[in-house]
Amino acid sequence: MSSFVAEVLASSGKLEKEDIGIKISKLSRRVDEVKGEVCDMINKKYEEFIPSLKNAEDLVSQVDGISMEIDLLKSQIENEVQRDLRVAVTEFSELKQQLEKSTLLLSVLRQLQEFDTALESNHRALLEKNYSKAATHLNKAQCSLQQLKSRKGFELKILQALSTELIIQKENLLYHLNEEWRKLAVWNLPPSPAPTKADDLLEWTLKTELRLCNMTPKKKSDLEPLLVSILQAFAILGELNSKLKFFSQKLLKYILKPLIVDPFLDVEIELQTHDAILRFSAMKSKSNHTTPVEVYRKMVVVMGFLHQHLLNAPVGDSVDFNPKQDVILAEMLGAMIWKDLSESIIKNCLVNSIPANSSQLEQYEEVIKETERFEDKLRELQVLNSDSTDLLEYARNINTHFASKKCQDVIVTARILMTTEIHNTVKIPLDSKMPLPKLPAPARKAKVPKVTSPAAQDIVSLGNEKQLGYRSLCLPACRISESVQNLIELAYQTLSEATDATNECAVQLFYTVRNIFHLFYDVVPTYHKENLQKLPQLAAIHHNNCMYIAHQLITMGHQFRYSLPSPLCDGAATFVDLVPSFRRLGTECFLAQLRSQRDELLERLSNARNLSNLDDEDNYSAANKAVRQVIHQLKRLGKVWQDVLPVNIYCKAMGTLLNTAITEIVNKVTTLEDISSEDADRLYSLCRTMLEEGPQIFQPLSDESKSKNKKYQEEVPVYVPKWLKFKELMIVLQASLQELVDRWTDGKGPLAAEFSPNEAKSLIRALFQNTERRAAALAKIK
Amino acid sequence: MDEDVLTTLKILIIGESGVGKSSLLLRFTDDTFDPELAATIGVDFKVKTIAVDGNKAKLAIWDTAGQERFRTLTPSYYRGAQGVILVYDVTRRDTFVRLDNWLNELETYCTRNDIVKMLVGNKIDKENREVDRNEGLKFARKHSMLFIESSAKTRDGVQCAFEELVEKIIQTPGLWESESQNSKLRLSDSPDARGGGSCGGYCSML
Repeated sequence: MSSFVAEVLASSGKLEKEDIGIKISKLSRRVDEVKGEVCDMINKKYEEFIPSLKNAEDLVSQVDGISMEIDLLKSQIENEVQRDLRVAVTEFSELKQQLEKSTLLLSVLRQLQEFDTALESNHRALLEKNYSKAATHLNKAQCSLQQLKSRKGFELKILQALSTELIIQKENLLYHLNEEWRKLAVWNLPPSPAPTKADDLLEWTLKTELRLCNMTPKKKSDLEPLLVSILQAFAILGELNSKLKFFSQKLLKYILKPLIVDPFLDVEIELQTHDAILRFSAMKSKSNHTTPVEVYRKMVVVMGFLHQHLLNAPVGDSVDFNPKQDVILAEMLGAMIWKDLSESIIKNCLVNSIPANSSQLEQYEEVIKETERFEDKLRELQVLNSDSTDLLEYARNINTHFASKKCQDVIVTARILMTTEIHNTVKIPLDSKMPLPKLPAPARKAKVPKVTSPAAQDIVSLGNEKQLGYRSLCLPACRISESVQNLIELAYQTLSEATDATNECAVQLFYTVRNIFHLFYDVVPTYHKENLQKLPQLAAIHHNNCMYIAHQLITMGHQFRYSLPSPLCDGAATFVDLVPSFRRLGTECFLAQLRSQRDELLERLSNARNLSNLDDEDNYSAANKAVRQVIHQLKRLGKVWQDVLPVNIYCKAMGTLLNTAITEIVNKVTTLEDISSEDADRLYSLCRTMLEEGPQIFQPLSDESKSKNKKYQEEVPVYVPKWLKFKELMIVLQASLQELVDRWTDGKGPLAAEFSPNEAKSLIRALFQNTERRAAALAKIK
Repeated sequence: MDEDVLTTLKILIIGESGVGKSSLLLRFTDDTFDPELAATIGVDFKVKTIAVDGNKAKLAIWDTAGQERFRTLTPSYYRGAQGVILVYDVTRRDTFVRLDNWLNELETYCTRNDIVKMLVGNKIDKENREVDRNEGLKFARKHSMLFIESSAKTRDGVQCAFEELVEKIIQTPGLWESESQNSKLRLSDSPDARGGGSCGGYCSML
C-alpha cells in the first residue's frame, strides 16, 4: 500500500493528499452507521423470534399425543363390535333354514296327502266303474308323485313304495279297462293256422266275427255310458293310441283285407239287445277279382257299423286338462288304417279293374265316380280327413295305369312267346303279307304322295329299262317259328292300339313295341343258347326268325305314322335302326353253326389217314368210313334244313360245306407223293362215292317236290366252287399220260384251268413211274 | 405226233340256252347228232386237231352252259381264249335279241382285244325261221364278226364255221405267236384267289 501511496504521491503531488483526508472522514462516518444497524438486527432476532418458535413446538407435541389416543380408542372399538356381529348373523341364518325345512315338509306332506286322496278316490271310482274318473285321479296321483320325485336330495323310502303302489293301481285299472274292452269288442277269430286249400279258406274266413257290446246296461243311471268311460280312461292313461292301433290292425287283417281280396265274401250286421255283430257271409260272384263298386259298398257297411257302435263316442270332451286329446275317435282310427286300406284297395281291387284294352276305357268313368262317392262317404263318417284323395287320384290316373298295365301285359306276352320252343314253325310263303289291323283314315295330311301305278310307270320309265323284279324285295319262302309270327302280330296289334290311345299312352305303347324287339335281341340268343349251338335246324330257324323280323322292321311303323302323336308322327315312328342288328344276330348265329359243322367235317376227314397207301385194307376202310361219314353228315344237314332255309341260303350253306369237304380231299390227294395204280383205283372209287352222293344232299324243297330238287342237284358246280376241280382230279386218277397231256392242251385245257403246273406235275409224278414218256409229258406242262 | 402242230388255240362257244352249242361241238368233233341232248351243266371240253391251209392247229374247245343258272361259272373260261363262237337259233328271235348281252359279257371277261368272233345262226334245217340271214349278217358286220348259218343236224356250215375261225385267227398277227408272252401278262383271276372252303362268301338273304 505504501508503495501505491508513494507512487500516487510521487505522481500527483500535494493535491491528492488533501482528497484522501476527505475520503477517510467520510469512511469513518459510514462505519458508525453500520455499527448501529447491526446492533439493531441482533436485538430483534433474539428478543422476538426464538420465543414464538418454542411455543409452536410445544403445540405439535401435544397434538401428536391426542391423535395417538384416538387411534387406540378406534381399534378398541372395532374389535369389540365385529365379534358381536358375526354371532348375530349365524343365529339368523339358522333360523331361516329351520323355517325352510318346515315349509318343505309341509308341502311334501300335503302332496303325500293329495296322492293318498287321489289313490283313494281312484279306488272308489274304480269300484263304481267310473273308469274315466278313476283314470283322472290316477293321473293326479302320478302328477303328485312326479313332483315329489322331482325334488333333489330328497330320498324317502316311502316314495319307492308309493310309486310301486301307483304302478299297481295303474295296472289294476288297465286290467279292468282291458277286461271291459274285451267284453265290449269281441273278436271271434277262426283257429290260427289258416288252411292252405283255397276252398277251405273261404269257410275258414267266414268264421270271423266282431261283436260290439256297446248297449251299456244302465245299472247306475248317473254314470256315463260305459264305453265312453272306458275310452276316455284309455285316452287319459295314454293307452288309447296303442289300443286303437291294435284294434285297427285286427280290423284290417281279419275284416277289411279279406273283403277287398275275396269276391265271395259279404258282410252282414246283426243287432241284438245289447250287442251289434258284424260277420261274414258267402256271396256269389262272377269274377275271381273283386270289383271296386262291391268293395266300396262293403267298406261303407263296415265303417258305418263301427261308426255307429263304437267310434262316435266323445273321447276327450270331459277331460279338461289336456285339450290335445280332444280328438275324434273315427279320425284316429282313420289315420291308422287309411294308408294300408287305400294301398290294399289299389293293389287288390283297382289294379284288376283297369281295362286291358282301350275300348273298355270309357266304362271306367263309372269306377271313378264310385271312388269319389266312396271317399265322400268316408269323409262323412270322419274316417277320412278332408284333404286325402289317394284312391280318387289313382282312379283318375287311369290313362297312365292303363298304359302301364297294357305295356306290362304286352312285354309279358312277348317274353312268353320268346321263351317258347323255336321248332314249332310256320311256312312263310313267298308272297306273305302281314294282315294289318284296320287303321283309322289319317286325319291330318290326307294327301299322301300318290304311288305311281304300274300303268304310269310304263310311260315314265326312266333310264334303265331293266326293272327290279316284282319279287326283288320280298322275303324268300322259308320257315319261321310260330312264336315269332305271333310276336310280329303282337307288335302290330300294340301299335294299332297306340293309335287309339291318348298321347302319353301312345308314346308309351310305341316304345313298348320297340322294347319287345330289344328284349328279343337280348333274350332269345341267351335263353336258347345251348339249343342254337347244338341243333343246326334251330340255328336255321333262328336265322330265318331274325331275318323275318328285320324284314318286318323295315316297314313297321310307317302305317301308323299319321295316327300317332308328335314326335312319332314326325318320323320317329320307325324301327329301321334295329334292322342291321337283327340281320347280324341271325347271320352270326347261323355262321357259327356253319363253322361248327365245317369243323366237324374236317375232323371226320382227319381220320382218313391222309388218303395215303389205300392198297392197305385198314387205310382204305378208314378212308372209306371217313368219306361215308362226311356224306352222312351232309345228308342229315340237308334234311334238317330242307324246307326251312330259303332255297338260296340252303344251297349256299350246303355248297360251302360240301366245298370244304372236297377241297380237303383234293388237297390231300395232290400232296401224295406216290400213288400206285391200286391206290388210284381206290381213290377214284372214294371220289366217285362223293361225286354220286354229293349232289344228293341238295334237297332244299320238301319231299313232295322231288323233281324240283333235281334242278339244284344239277347246279352243284355253281354252289361248290371246287366241284369241277374235284371232277378233274377224278379224271386225272384214271387218265393215261397222253390223256393228261390232252387235257392240259398247252395250258388251255380243263386240267390247266383247275390245277397249277406244279400241282399237275406233282400228280403225274405220283401216278406214273419215271420214264422217258413221263419226262416228255412233264416237259409239256408249263 | 404233236410235233407238226403249229399252235394250240382256245375256242369258246357261247350263246343262249338251247341254241345248239353242244350239238355244234359234237358234230364238229365226233360227227354225231343227238336230238335229245341234255342241257350242259357247267362246262364241257373237247380237243380236236384241224388243218387249215396246210397248217395244223390243235383246238381246245370250251362248250359253256347257256342256262342262266350256270352263268356264274363261265367268266373264268373266257381267259386266254383266242376265238369265240357266238351261237343263236334262227327259229327263236329272243336268242338273237340277246346277242348284245353276250357281246357285252365277252367284252367284260375277255383278256385280249383282238379275239376273233364268229356269229353262227344255227338250226337252219328247221322251217319256222324267225331271224333272216341278212339280219344276222348285218349284226355280224356291225360288230366286226365272221358270220355263218349252220345246222348241226344236217352238218351244214359246221366244219366251215370252225375252219374259217381258225383261219382268221392264224391270219391275225400277234394273236397266236406271242402267246407265250401273253400268258405272263395275264391278270390274276385264278379260282384259287376266291376264298375257297370258308364261309366268308355267305351273305344274308335280303
